[in-house]
Amino acid sequence: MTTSEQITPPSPASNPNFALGVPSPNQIEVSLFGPGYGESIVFHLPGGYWVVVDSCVRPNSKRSAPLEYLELLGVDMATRVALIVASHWHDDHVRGLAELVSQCRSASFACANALCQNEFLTLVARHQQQRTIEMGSGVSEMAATFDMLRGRQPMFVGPDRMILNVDGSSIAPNLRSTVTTLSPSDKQFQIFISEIASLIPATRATKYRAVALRPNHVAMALWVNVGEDCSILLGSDLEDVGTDVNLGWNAILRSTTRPQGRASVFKVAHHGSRTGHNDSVWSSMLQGNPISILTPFVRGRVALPTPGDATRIMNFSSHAHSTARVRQPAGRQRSHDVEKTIREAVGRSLRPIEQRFGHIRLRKVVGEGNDWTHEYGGDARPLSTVHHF
Amino acid sequence: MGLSQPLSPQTSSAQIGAPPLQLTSAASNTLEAGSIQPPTELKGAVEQLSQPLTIPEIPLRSPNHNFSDMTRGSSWAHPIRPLAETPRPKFVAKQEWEGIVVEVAEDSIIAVLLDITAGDELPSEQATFPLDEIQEGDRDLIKLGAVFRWTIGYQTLPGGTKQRVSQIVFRRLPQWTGLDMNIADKVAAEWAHSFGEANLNSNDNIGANHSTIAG
Repeated sequence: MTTSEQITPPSPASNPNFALGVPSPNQIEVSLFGPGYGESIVFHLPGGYWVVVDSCVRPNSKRSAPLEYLELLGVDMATRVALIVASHWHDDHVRGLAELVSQCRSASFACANALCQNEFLTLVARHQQQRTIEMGSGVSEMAATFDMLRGRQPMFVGPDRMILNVDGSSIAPNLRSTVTTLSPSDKQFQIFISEIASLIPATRATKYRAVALRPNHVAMALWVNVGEDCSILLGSDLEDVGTDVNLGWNAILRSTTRPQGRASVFKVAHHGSRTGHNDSVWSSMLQGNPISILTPFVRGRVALPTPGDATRIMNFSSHAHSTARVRQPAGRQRSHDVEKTIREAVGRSLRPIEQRFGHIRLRKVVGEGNDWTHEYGGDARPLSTVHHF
Repeated sequence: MGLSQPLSPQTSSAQIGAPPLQLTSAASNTLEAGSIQPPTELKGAVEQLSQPLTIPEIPLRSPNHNFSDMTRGSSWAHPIRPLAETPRPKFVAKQEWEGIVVEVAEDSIIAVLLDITAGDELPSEQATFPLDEIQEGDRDLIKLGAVFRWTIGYQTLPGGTKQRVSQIVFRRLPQWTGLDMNIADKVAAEWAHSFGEANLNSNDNIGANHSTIAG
């Protein structure tokens, strides 16, 4: 593996030299953005087509990060984005999704089948009826996205379904790129529907902001195959739930209809958490010492990956990268009297939610083995420094 | 039914010094025409109806707009006195957030905070609030997704004393109404119809087959 590592470059938005390198038609690119507020993956397939998985917003511009990146590259989004996937509906994965769907007019759209069931549609529509809360949520972005999708034949799919098939024979003989879903499993579908039904607001219930269900039963992991020699595993926020073999990674590992092969790049599931880890995924779905990429997550008492998570992932990987540090060194500056009152009320200064933003970009030429290059934008860094301030 | 005295051009809903209005029952005119004779037990009532109805003058506003004239000598109006000027504390907010509860523990809550003062659109901070910071009356409102306002500012008491104040108020948001539900359920049905399958209850594929793109 060769590297073109840039340790501290500015973000792509402020560093055109980073962003203007449009991949050649025979290159594969995997770009991971985040966290800012969420994460998003953009990948380029041989032949000049792009796929976007999830959307997050860049802290400075408040716009969809994948959309800004493709704009910066000069990609014709109306025709060259072939597929948009919403791997699940949590607000850290769907910010800016409606704008993305709106701009990429010919792109197919795919998400978990559970999200087109009456229970979920009703939940989203009913929460849309309260507009008294300043802070939007994942359901409001989903509502805007559903409005955009009217008349566009979106795909609502279960596991092991091919959702994109790109003929790349103009690049190389018999070259084909495919994207296949791996989850959610049938049992997770049923659990999600029963859980979401209990969250549907009833008449005369006091309005509140929709909150995400934990664990997440509709995370859609994806398998990307490019030709004979390159596979990529995108783990979404998929977690194992106990030892139930019909849930999470265990269900995928048991499947006899999923794509076979071993991936050389792994977007680590659920921000590197222990619950997103499964030893058998590393031993049977990934090449020995793959490249691992992830976005950190800080919310409430949760800060991922933990130092133990980072060590575990590095031990399994040849190279491991994070889009940003886990903890942020400084919060917002306020006047002395306000800051003093904050400390009196909550015992310390306010903790910033992840605001640093980073971009990891991996590229390789199709048919040239495992010769990936990687570049960093913004706060992106080796996973080994993810807890450095 | 007709007015025995038409409203003069000066007469309005706020009549000033006008004579009482007199209304005549049209029903009594009909009876006097002799076409229908009322039953005996109703004769008294009919006779009453045949008399002109009189509505006493209601002094809506005195000619000189004197507030006390309006209430003086009136049987229906209660004396209204202007409120006494009571000094109240003045509060000037310096910083305001909207908070959403994301975690509830035994003795504290964790919330993400949207800085209203800075005009943010996304939450950028979070904090752990001891339950002691939450007013007793608000504690039953604490749950995941509950919304509150946190304001920091200066309160000036009537005596002139100025003090810093931190105030957390959980919002008593309106309830979802039946109308909300009807509108929402119609939207949900439209989405389902648009996506092709409204009532599929399985984990099968819905919608278009996979996209195939020629290179």
